[in-house]
Amino acid sequence: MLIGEILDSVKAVRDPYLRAVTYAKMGELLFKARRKEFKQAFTKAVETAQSIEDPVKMFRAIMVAGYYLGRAGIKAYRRIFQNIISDTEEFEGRDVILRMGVPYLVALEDYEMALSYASLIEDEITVDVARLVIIRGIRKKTEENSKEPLEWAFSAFEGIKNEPWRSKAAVDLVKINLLTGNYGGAVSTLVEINDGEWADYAFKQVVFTLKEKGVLENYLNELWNVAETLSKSFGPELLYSLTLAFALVGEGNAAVEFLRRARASPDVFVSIANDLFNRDLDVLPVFIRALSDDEAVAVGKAIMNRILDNPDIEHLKIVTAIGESTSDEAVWTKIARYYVLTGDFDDAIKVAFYVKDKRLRSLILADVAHNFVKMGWVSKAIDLALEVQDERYSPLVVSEVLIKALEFELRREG
Amino acid sequence: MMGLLDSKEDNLKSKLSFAKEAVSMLLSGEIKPESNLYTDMVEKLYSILRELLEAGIIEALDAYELVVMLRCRFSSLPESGEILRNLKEALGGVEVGSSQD
Repeated sequence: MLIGEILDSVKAVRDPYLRAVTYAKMGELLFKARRKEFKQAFTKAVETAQSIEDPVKMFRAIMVAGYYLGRAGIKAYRRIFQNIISDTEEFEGRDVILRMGVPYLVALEDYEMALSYASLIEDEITVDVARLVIIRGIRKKTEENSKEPLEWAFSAFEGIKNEPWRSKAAVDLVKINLLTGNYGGAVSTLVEINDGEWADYAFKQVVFTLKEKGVLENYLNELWNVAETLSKSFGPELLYSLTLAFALVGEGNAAVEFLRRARASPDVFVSIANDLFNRDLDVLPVFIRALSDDEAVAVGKAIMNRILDNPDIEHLKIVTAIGESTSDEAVWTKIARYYVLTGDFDDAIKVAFYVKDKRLRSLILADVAHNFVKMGWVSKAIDLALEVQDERYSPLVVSEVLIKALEFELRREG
Repeated sequence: MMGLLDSKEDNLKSKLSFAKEAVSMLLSGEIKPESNLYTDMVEKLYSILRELLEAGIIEALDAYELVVMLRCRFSSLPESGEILRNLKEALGGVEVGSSQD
């Protein structure tokens, strides 16, 4: 079948809208194949579109023709879209037509014309939606190519007045800034978000991306100011969530500094540590090491209690970090208990000899001594039991260990 | 008092709207499944759905159960893509306000 015959056969498509679209698609194919018939196809597409009675359908078909013309790389598409602007001046449903044109222009990356369309829309909400479509289009393109012209995204954003469109557009603008390496811009755009959930999401995306790029430290102060502003609008829950983001990327010092600046109670420190314990055991030691001795007491007790419920060798780094962050002997006693439960008696004894409180030291030594008996190490158990100095425990421990030692010997002989 | 109730309802509406868009974002692959942001989004979805259930929006139950599965990541569970597709569908039927009318 010859190309002329194929073009002629399009007449068989009865629906004029579909016919116009078919001609337009053929026009693009022919142009790309360098066939002169492309002109005929595009002319037919526009003529067919103009013959449609329903004005909305007609303008849509003309736009489709313009869109395929643009896709073929023929600049004349602009004239088609410009003509639509003048042809719709008196048309009552102009907003619908203009709004419809925006995605086609965005797909052609003609953001200038897309913005012209958006700015002519009269209905306030429709304008905002159209501008959001432009920003999202730019964001998607930026994901493929980080050198998109950003000024159009900023211009589109400036004109958005209503929520939730403005906040959603701000989130996309943050992403565009991150994709193009404009990190300062990403941070400063965060305060434009007027929805707590989206602000939380975008803030975390900024923190995680800056960490990944190795530049988070350079923006800590700005991020703190943003976090403070956002938490004033959306409450302390948000500040908590934002702080957790820092802790999750292993920026324990920044997370702790945030909590201190916010004058957070010890409970908040404990909650963050618990969340980290649930989500990432590797970053918890970093957070713990950033704590002061006092802060580490509450956190250490809470986390050690959780670890002692189900002690495992994978908790060792956390336990070590707790031990190094606080000199609280009650916490150290829990640490010694962990060592006993994981079979590391030497370290349990070492901890015991650092503990000055006689009662706590005796508790640890008695614990280890009992375990020595269980293991059949009777003489080691007795030696250790004799080290128990607290008078309230000493006779009791020695007596218990000796009885157990006797039971053990009798069992062995019998 | 009515003002307070309205503001609570608005808050839930905004959270539900976020949850619906968040699921679409997770499905689109825009956020890598192994990233901190992905885990955080799943945690966020979990807390929003809990809040909806606590507010008596029982239609959120199916979605809540799916998020619990998503959170667990047990190998015996369906793939996260499938859970997310079901979650999107389940969330589509959840509305704040209409159920209590």
